[in-house]
Amino acid sequence: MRILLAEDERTISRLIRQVLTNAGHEVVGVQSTAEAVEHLEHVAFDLVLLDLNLSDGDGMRVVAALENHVGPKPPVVLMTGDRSIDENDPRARRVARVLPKPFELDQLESVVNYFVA
Amino acid sequence: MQSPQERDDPELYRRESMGAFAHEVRTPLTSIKMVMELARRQSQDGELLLDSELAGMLRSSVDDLQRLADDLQEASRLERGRFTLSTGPCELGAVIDTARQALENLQLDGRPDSFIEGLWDGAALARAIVGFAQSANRIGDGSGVVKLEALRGPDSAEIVLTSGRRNASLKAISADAGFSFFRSRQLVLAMGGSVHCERAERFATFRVVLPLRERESAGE
Repeated sequence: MRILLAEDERTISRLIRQVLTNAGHEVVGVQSTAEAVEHLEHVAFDLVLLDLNLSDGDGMRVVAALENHVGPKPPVVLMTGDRSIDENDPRARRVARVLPKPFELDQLESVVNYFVA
Repeated sequence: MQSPQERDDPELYRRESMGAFAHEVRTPLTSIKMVMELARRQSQDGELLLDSELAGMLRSSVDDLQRLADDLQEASRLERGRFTLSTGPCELGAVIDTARQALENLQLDGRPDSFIEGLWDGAALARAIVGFAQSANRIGDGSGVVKLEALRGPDSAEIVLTSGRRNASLKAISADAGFSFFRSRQLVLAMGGSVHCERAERFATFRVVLPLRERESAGE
């Protein structure tokens, strides 16, 4: 599975890439909303792992860009330390899944495996 | 009438600063949990318990937690009035240079328009400028370049940090400004100054006003 990982915290990004690459996935890592949107315009991904707070602003910009994108729309998993984002939050309704930080490695793998199946 | 950005609501700032702290502490915790789980898996496979790369990641995350704890302690002291300022004559250009050196991956673009000297805590002011610059970049355009202006008024100095282009969609400062913004604001208030914010989509400007309190007027 080809996964776009948008996460500006380098340690978390490296760890997720390491785990998912070892599991056989192709992972492209970016650190900003601009890079994420650019990649999504030119490359087909099966899944997007998206941090809500990226270096150049709100990760929901990437979701908005995908919503306006013509063509396949990969599911988005929103990773956030903001515990106020529950299933009733409007942002949660625009993505496939919310993964609250700090998450366990097992939780991350479980979410990714759900979209593999 | 004041805009929401200019309204000085201590409760709002306190609430949002706690939200920012709770949010930021989760990032290093996520790294630590992941590293520990990877180490556990490696040990089960008979490999090293913690290789040097994972140990480095762990160290970096623990350092982030330490910095957040230090910031929280400083904010707590400021709020209780138990923070002692080391006030003395200092030149704003030198303070800005100190801030510039402390900023990683972020450029402060601009210098004071003239020689500006006041009685301030130079180290605390430099930390505040670093915090405002990081926050402006974070909620502004994220370009890694923050524009700085420093002007001298009749009895005050004004430092303006700006990221992005102003537009019509003004909104209030909230937790996503980052804990560094709230701690920096407290530092400036403790110095007898004020902070005025304007924020919009991909735009933030912080205007910091500090009393000059020059040597003769301070009784030296």
